[in-house]
Amino acid sequence: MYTHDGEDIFVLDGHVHFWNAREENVIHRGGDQFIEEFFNGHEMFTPEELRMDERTFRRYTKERFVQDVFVDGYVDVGMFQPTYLKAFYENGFNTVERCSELAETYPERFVLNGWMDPRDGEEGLEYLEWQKETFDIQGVKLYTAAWNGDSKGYRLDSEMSYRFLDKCEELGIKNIHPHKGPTIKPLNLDAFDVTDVDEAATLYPDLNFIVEHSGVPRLDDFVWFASQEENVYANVALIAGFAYKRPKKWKEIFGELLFWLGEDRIIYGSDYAICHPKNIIETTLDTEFTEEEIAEYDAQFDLEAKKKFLGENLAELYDIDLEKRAKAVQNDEVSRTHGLEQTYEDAEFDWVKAGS
Amino acid sequence: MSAETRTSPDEVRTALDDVYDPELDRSVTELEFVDDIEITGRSVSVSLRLPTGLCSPSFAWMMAADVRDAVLDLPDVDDVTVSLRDHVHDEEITRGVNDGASFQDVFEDAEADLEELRWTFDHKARLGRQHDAMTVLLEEGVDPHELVAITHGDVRLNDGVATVSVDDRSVSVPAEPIDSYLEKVDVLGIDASPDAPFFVTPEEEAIPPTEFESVRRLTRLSSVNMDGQAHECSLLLEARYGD
Repeated sequence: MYTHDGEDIFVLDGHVHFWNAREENVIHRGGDQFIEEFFNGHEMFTPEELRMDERTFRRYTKERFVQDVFVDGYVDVGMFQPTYLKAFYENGFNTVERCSELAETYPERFVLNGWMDPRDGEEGLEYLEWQKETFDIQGVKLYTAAWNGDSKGYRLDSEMSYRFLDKCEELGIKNIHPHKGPTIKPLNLDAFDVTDVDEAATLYPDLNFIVEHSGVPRLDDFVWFASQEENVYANVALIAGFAYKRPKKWKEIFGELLFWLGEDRIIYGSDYAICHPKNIIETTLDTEFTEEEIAEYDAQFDLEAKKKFLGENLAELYDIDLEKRAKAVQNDEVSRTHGLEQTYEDAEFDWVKAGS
Repeated sequence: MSAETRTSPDEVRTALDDVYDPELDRSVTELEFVDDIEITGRSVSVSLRLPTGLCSPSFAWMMAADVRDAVLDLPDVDDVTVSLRDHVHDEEITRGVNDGASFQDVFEDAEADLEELRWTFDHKARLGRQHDAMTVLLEEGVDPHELVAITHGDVRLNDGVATVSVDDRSVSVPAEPIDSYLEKVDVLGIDASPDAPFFVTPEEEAIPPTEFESVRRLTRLSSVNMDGQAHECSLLLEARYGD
């Protein structure tokens, strides 16, 4: 919960991780390079007093996660966006199974999303079914630029992918989270391409496409088609890290998202542990647009917009009753262990969206 | 040996000022991607470093190849070696570029057509630069309907000043943003004959006055995107090589 100008705001973080990149899990040179790049990102996006050392960063504990995200970071509920990278890490980097350890320890505190890779064919479809049965997933993460066997990436606007989207519809997994952002080994032109989401979103109007990292470094291509597709959303994970060292840049990017997508389609995500929710939320919520900027972006980032951004937009896509969730977390293990019960008891959430 | 004319590090650096990161539309010297320059007689070695070891190999290749070409163009240079360091493909790119190989020869799995990629990013850079050029004119009081009516024949560049005929008056602005916009117009082969419109839509057509605002939004977006990415890269470079 974040209190802004005396108003209590419920925080649903749309993009958190619980990974394992310890040496003993690394099976390919890429695994070390990958986590080193992440650590560089951590140093550039996270204020020093909130940072981890490199060893801790490779595999932080459940306790550290809880302290950073739920105690210091104002987050009430976090959503896992798994990333497999099985070519680099023996047991995967950040799998559904691994994330479920935390999600099962603190069930009120998490939304556990699944993972799919259309190149896995039948096996991949079965894995999707298994995740639905086992964890009742409502959303699925995918990474079109990931390598898999001989493939150096795939497109969402392909028959192969549509088979998987059909399966998502059939299973009632209605939230699709394509990673469209910085890329591991961007060998091909398509690695950063965002436009494949366009046709998929048109063909599957009942699914929601939440584009993780808002397409950056292709923000321009992303917002251009997103502005025309009502079921496409922008998650600001990682790019919100600009709030720390380049707050003006962050304001500009945020302004563009507001202009092209509007306040109902922008979703907060920290990308913890690269970024820390505490400084992102503080800086973003303190963003005030001048009269000139309001005219320029044809939008205001007022209290209502801030509430939607921090949780209500995403809760709506997942049919999460935030009123109920707020009561559920009030006395859960995290709240009891860290003395948060009274804070929740005293909280007054004035919800913006009906039904949340 | 004494009669031989040598190039200087400053000359090399000046030549490299004109080599751009195609994705960020910034010079590799400004971005601090040039790590070291060594001159031995008429041979020059340049080493490059990038913000991450996972930067797109296609852009890394283009920059390394452009660095090589720019230094080879210097009058007192016969031989250039470019080395890319600390990249997952540093050896392949270094060897390939110095051997004059093609990107596809070295990366058989790559589907990238570098010429197509160059066009895409020259196009984006043109939009961003057009935005800046329009901004200086708007700030000088040129109205949107006047802006879209300017033709190439209306613009003269002289001594660091651009003079633009607008309606019945003439407006002077710094030449730099105008000039750098014209560079991309030239690279893309956009019609720059005297009667051709000076500013054009993303599709390279005259801007109807009613479309001014929407074109302006698109050019702003291109500029914000490239500039944002440039900031991200400079922060990453700092995290990687800073103290």
